[in-house]
Amino acid sequence: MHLTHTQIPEEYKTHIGKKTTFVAAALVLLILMLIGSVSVGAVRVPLGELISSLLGRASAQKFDIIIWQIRMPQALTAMAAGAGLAVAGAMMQSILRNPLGSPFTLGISHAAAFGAALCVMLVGPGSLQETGSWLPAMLGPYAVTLSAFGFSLVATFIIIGISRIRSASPEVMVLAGVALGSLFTAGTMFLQYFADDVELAAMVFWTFGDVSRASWQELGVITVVLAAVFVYGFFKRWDYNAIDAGDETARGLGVRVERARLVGMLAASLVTAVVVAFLGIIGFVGLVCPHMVRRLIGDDHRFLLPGTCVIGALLLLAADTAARLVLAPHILPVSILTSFLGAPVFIYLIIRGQQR
Amino acid sequence: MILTVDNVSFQYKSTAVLDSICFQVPVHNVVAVLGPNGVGKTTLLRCMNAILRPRTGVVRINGENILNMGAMEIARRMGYVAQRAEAARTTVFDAILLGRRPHITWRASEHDLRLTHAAIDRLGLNALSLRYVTELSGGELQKVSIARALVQEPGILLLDEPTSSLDLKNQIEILKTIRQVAATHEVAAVMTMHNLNMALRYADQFIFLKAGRIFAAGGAETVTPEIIGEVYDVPVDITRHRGAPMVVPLG
Repeated sequence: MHLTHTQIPEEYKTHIGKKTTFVAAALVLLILMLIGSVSVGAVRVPLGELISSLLGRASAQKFDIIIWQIRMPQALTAMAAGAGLAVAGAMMQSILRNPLGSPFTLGISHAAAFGAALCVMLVGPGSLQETGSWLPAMLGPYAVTLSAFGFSLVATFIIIGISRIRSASPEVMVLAGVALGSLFTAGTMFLQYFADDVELAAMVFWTFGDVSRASWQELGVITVVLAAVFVYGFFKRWDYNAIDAGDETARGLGVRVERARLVGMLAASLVTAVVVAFLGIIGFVGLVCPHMVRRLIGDDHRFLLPGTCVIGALLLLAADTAARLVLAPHILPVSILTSFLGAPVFIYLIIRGQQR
Repeated sequence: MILTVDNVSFQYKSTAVLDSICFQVPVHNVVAVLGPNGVGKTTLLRCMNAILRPRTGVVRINGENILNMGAMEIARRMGYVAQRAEAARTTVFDAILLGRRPHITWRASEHDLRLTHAAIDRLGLNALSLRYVTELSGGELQKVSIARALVQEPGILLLDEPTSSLDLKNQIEILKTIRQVAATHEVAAVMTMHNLNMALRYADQFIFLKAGRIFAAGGAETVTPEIIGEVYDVPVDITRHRGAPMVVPLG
């Protein structure tokens, strides 16, 4: 033993306690937000009815249907998608050691949009509207989803492939991602230019990320993937902390940096691909949310990952609830709101950050 | 622990950097690796820690080839302090606690936290312990890296210019700590250095590298004006000041 034992300083315990409290408080807030979100909307559900319906003892069937078939899946999907995108963003920022890492900036969302547009073009918008075309009939309503998912994975593998050639350096990954994003955007525009009115509408409509698209089954898929990726990320939290201290230091601490980078990238992309394929493009949550949490509780991944997960869920749920209310009875897709509010919030964070 | 470097050669693409390097570091010893910029000192340390894979040759800890060990196993036996550390928004305490990572399976234990506090105490970082690493000066950050390697509790410490951004007082403090750790525990330390006088004061053995080869190696008697003149291409004189040898550049 090199060092004699001493007591653990109280201040450190308090410091750690504060971070734990932050995550716990955010979790409580999230539950309150969920209850609030389910009760408000075009039809207001009184609290008493809400509670009895949640407990399975609803007196009015009307409220039961509104809660369990419309609002609950939508709210839970918003939470799962927000958590997924935010955790993916936090992991990408860490393993790429770049504050710009996010599903949106690395071209994965653009690739998904291209995949969706291509599917609409090849098999017709029928996949959204159920026509007699054989391919959508075979794949069911999931043709566009599968195509979007496939292309986001293609983007991921191209990024990983390129970086493997250049020994998984973070700069190469980020630059390859930016280049791919631009390439897929060009591809989407090309398809849109040659699409007819109905196809064009379907393509554009798909890109409006909207959490109301998901049913319980889709929510289930998103949740399972999110849980797996979160557990993986949390398992690797010490490795990500080590990578934060520099690649060489991390190697000295026994971290296989390249592998952590490639697998982490794959995991983060997977959760992004699932969310985007089912719901469309929801911008800025993956970029802004991790930065907010970093400002509040620092870069320590032991707290950053759970923190981003909860805050991501909270943010997207709040945004979706707001999107249902601002122009009621019209319902906005949540992605419009996140991008609209995300940008100024991000600029504010950057300016505040510079003053420190 | 005994560290053996046996016939290690390394090349980046087609440029040979290290050529047949052989030496041994017995326990309790502090070895200074000396030589001009770009001679391969850092590459040698990286080969010793399996961060780089030598082209030929073997590095052994207590006779065991490190390439047969897992990354985590190497990290439990060998601490590595890189020349440059990056700063993240974590506290000094947590940054040092990270050194326990090769020993931690799921969460940091009471023991890990106590060792961390002890290392903070030892390097005089108490006042900074809850500051964010991003707010530290270069020298303070260097001390954090060294503290991190100490809590790793390795048998071998590899330090790449551990005193390059430290002021005089801190240089002495750090080198004294390294010496003490080597002397009082089962530790061997290898450090690359530029300050010959500091090396003379705190190292037991000296290895001079020139053009990728060991030019001279041995105890304090190895450090002669001729060898330093050859290795660094600068004429020097070695005088004695109150009994301690001092290297003084001429001209």
